[in-house]
Amino acid sequence: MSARGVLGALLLQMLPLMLNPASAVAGLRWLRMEEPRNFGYFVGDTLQRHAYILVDPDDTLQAASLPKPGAVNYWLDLVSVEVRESRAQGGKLYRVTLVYQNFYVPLDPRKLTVPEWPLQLGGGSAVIPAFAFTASPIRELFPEKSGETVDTFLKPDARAALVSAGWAPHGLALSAAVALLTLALLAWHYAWWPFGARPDRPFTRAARKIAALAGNAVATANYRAALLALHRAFDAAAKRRLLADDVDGFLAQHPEFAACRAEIAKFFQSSREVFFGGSVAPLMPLDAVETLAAQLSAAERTR
Amino acid sequence: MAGEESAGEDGVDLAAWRDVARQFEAELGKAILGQQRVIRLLTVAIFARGHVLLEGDVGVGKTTLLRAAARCLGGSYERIEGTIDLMPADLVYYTFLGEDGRPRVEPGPVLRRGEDLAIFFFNEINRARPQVHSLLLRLMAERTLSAFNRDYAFPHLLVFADRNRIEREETFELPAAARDRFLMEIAIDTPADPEVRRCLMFDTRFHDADRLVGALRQVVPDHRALDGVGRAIQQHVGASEALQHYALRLWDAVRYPGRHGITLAGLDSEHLVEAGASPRGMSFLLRAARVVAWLDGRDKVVPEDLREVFFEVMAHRIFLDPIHEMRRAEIMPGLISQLFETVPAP
Repeated sequence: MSARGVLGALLLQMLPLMLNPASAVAGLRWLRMEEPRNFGYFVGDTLQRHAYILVDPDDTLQAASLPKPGAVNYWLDLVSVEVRESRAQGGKLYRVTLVYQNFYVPLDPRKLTVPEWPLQLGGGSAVIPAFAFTASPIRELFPEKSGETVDTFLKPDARAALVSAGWAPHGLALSAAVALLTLALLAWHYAWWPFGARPDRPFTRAARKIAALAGNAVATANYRAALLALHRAFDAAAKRRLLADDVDGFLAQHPEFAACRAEIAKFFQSSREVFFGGSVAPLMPLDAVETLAAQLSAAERTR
Repeated sequence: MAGEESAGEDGVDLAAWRDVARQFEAELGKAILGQQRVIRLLTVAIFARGHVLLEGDVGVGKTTLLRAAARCLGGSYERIEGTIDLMPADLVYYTFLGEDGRPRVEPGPVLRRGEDLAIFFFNEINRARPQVHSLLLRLMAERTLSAFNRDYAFPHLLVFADRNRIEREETFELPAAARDRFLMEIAIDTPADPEVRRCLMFDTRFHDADRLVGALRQVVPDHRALDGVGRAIQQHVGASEALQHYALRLWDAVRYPGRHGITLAGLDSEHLVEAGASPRGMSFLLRAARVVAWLDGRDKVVPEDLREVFFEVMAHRIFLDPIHEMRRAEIMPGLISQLFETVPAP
């Protein structure tokens, strides 16, 4: 065979490869693009491109060869890259979804091109082809000619739409209620305001009771009841049963009552006479008991 | 009041006897320092004609106190030491061999002084056996004894006993019946006052108990009159209706502390007391309280009088639940002070 014959045979063998570059790569059966419209894009618009790649069942798409999201060039960003794999036509079908965002601000309609991207397969390669589209301006080139001023030319900012908060407001209200209730319980437990118990005022209670008794006709039973009421007040103030002999100790612990020392001693003496001495004529008339109770009641409020 | 007293039913001059009682206390106070309360209680027991059990550590002056009391009281005085081999007959009979070699039986310590015996002092009573305690039961309750085929009566007898509360080896706990017959159980502690302690340590007067007691004078003119005085006091001093109710509430509260709202930290007051005070105990309490009122110059018992003697008269008659019995010494003071802090008077 001559040299020309060999060259001709080689060219014949390579012809299909030259006509169809994809088929020239082992493992890749075909690559088809599903492109968006190629006109009418403004600044900020997104383009979604799908590349369907069918490979042999034992071949794989190298994930490292996929483009990375980020800036492609100064006016184009790749926003997201998504790959889905499925079985089709006895092979492996990849769907690669690329979302681009255009930031080009043209002054007149202009053709822009998304560059091609090579992909690596297990046994071969494929190329996502370039995509050209027409980008359009969003404003007049010379707005003053149509009577626009700075005030009218700039559009007002779009109003933010209210986002529905769902159940969050109800949850907040519920949490707040629970927190308040817990705080109230805590305040009660530690006797914080308003649960700080006011100091007990036994003499005031006794003074009221005695005043009520004194209103009635003075009878022995009433007199005894008045003495008992004051005794119980002394018991409550001392936090134990107070007998006549304990008065000095009581006054030492509660100096606020010391001003009434003589009257208190007289009261206990009188009570002793009435209850234990069998005396009929009390040392201290009911009026005096009432006065003493009122004085003690005033004294205990100074605590 | 003094005028009424001098015309007592038995012709007993109670006002004069009150002066005697105060002199008695003052005289005892010369020999026994820092024990005013013990002296007061002992005086109350003597005028209430009740037997006394003294409890205290060794060397706090129990024996000296009783010897001094016997000295100031006058009358005859006998003592015996409790030992583990002491038998009842040893109290009554004294047996020995005479010079002629023949056995002799003569009256023992209780009988030796005849029926005039004023104070019988039983030292370390818990070292004696229960048989001896039984003999004491009759001697204390009835003041009689059978010996030499006849009955002896001791109308003026007071039994004073002591025991130390530290040692438990070779001792016999007094039966409840015997303890119930003592009017009071008085605890004697070492005086806390530093000045008194200094005197007791450095004043040589207190180092010789014999001379100390010997220096005291007899202040009670005739101890045989004390029985009559005691009766006159009990008749003369009254208890009003309110006080009777108060005493009844105390009696109930000491048996059922839980029902009366008495709470003691860490104890179940519902089940604390297993048996309360006996009726004899309560009558002793009133007897002692009347004497306290009389010593204070009153003819009516007041709640303070009950409180003054309650612990000594009642504490040993109250029986706690067995699981608390070992802690009696710490529980009883709390229970009784709570009792008086809780039960309303009047």
